[in-house]
Amino acid sequence: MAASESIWDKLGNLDRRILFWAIVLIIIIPLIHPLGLPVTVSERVREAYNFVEKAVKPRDIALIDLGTGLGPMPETMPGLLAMTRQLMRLQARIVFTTGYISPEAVVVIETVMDQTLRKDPKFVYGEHYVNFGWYTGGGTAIRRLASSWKDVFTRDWYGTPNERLPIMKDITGADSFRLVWHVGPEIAWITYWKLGKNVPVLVTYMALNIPTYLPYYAAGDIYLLGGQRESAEYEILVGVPGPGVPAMDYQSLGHLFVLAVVVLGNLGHIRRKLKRGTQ
Amino acid sequence: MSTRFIRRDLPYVILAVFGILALLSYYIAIPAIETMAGTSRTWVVVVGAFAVLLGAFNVVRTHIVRAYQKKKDYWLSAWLLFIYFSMIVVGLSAGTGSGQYKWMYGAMYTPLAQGVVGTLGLFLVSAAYRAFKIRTIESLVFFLGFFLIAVRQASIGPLLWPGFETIGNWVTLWPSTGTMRAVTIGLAIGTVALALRTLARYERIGLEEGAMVGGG
Amino acid sequence: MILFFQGRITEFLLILLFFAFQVFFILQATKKKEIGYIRHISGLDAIGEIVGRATEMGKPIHLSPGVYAGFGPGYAGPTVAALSMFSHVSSLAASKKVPVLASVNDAASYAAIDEAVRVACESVHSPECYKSENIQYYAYGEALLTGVFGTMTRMKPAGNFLIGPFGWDAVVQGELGAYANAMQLGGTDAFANLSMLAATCDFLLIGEEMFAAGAYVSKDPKGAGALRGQDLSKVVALLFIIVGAVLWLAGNKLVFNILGV
Repeated sequence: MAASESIWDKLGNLDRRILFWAIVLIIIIPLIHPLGLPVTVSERVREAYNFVEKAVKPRDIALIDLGTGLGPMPETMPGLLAMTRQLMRLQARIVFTTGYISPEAVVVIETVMDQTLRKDPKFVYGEHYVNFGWYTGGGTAIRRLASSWKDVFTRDWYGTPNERLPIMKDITGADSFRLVWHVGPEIAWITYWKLGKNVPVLVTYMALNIPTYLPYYAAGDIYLLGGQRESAEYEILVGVPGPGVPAMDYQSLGHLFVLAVVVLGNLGHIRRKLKRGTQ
Repeated sequence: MSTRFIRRDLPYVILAVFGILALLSYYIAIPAIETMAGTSRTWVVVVGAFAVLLGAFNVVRTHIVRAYQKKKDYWLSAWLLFIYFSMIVVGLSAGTGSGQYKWMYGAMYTPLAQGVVGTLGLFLVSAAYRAFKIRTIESLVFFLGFFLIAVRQASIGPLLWPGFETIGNWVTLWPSTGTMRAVTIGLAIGTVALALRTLARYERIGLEEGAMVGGG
Repeated sequence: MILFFQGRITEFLLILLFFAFQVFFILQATKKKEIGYIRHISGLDAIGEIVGRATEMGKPIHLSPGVYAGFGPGYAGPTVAALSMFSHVSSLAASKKVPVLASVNDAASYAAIDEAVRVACESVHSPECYKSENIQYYAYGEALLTGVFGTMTRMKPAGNFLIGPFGWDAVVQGELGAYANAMQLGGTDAFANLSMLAATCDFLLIGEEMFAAGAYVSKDPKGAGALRGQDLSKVVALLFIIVGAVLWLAGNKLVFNILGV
């Protein structure tokens, strides 16, 4: 009797280090031996994908803006790569920028370009895609970009003046873009580009930040992909294997582990309370 | 001008002038106001860049003192200063677009940053374990919300039972969105109220002596 | 000549109205007239408890405005609210001889918080509670978290104030404070991260309670008047929502059109 009581007490009071080691092991298992758990595609992701398929025509210009640093990339990178590949298949032209608090997101843009555009000789830098890199000023800069692109960017990230970039002949402001895909928490894209200039905005960010965007999604102002799962779903729709789908194995196991641990912790806690009540 | 005016009142005068200018530029369609506001927004970016120097100086000063005085783990401060100045030297000499700089950034900073963010998952587990103990009706609701959303977000959730997807979506789209809207409206009004109080100098933001001691 | 931008006139008039409410009640409070009931905000009432705990334990308090602290659009509001709050908390802590630590990852916010803490400590004649090396600047968010980890492990503050524009760092900083057994007060404008602070902090400021902090904590009649004015502004917003929703359901777009003027 004493041994089983102490097990319940222990379950309600697990050392954090046990939890940390357990979650690490649970994540390592599918890395070593992929489980291949199936992934279903949700309505919201299908909506975003279908919109891009219908709306983007060859030679249209799409803007991909990163409002976040390196940290959330595991969650959003699958969607970023999938979206870029979809735009390439639709023969769109792509402009990259980042308005994060530091220029570290330029590394992410370089990674995306290395894995997608730079591998395809049909896409020529300066003509089919360009990286303008980092800008400061947050919402103020986004507002100015909407009215006059050249007010914010006079050259690309590598120092090439706008006049020597063929794609710049067709870029003046928000009206030049078919859509904006923002990865991050910046609402100014919705305020100034969607509501101000009626440029469609797609947003993706970490799963825990989905609630921030839900009112705009519910109002029909944006298309939304939240977190690693929906990025993986987008990857499935685009049809090119990437890092998202394999990640679903350990994401699922991790979620189930957390749920199990919380339930067990509660069982221990409730049992202790009942014991105290009967004594 | 007295020292008191410069230290205590001048910051508020500057705040009020530029704050009202920024406010008016959004509503009033007079080109001169928009031009002045646009110039002041550029100054904000420039001043912010100068502030980085202040922060950088703080880092250098703190760690030079620690290394010099051989305080505990002083060698870590020495290492920080070595990396700090190495990045500056490489960035200034070879350029931030150079292979060397990109390598230093990509090989040193990137993995460390992602490692730190990776700990987010660990902390989430321990926070969930600690926080979702059912003690009251409210904590039961808290737990149920967490359970439904966590299962919905896991790709395996809808495969265990399709109802998880439906319920999870409903919780996300209706109660969560409604609450989000309410909080957003409250925050917007609170932000406006705080801004107006600050401009009118009814709010102390640490710029003057005699800040009130209160709260307990 | 058109003076206003299209679609922004009503908004401008509403802002003037909100300001008028605040001025009216501040003047009422100054003349010691009745301004109505201000409810207790338990998170703000807990500031004294947290600082008192630090005093008893002989430990410092720690302040952090979050990884998105700064004066750019969207983040300036909560950063200023954090600044106001930290100023008051520092005054209270310094009056009880409690050292103040802070971790900031934005240079402009660092300068502002450093000055606010210094002025607050000097104003209550406790300059020893402020040390410039205790107000730490970290370059990026990840460096901030590493620094906070070190501060929590080494200094073990008894109180932790997490107020400002937090991002994904909310749960990390909250848990780190919990590891150090610090009593924590959290508040952010980011709804998603508010839930993280709710899971890790002992006290919470929800929504605009964070923006009311400065006025509430000062115990100044003008502060109470300002809060009353803020509340009345919310009532006006609520009326627009309810009346607008009812009229919309009835097929009338009057409120919608008024707001669009």
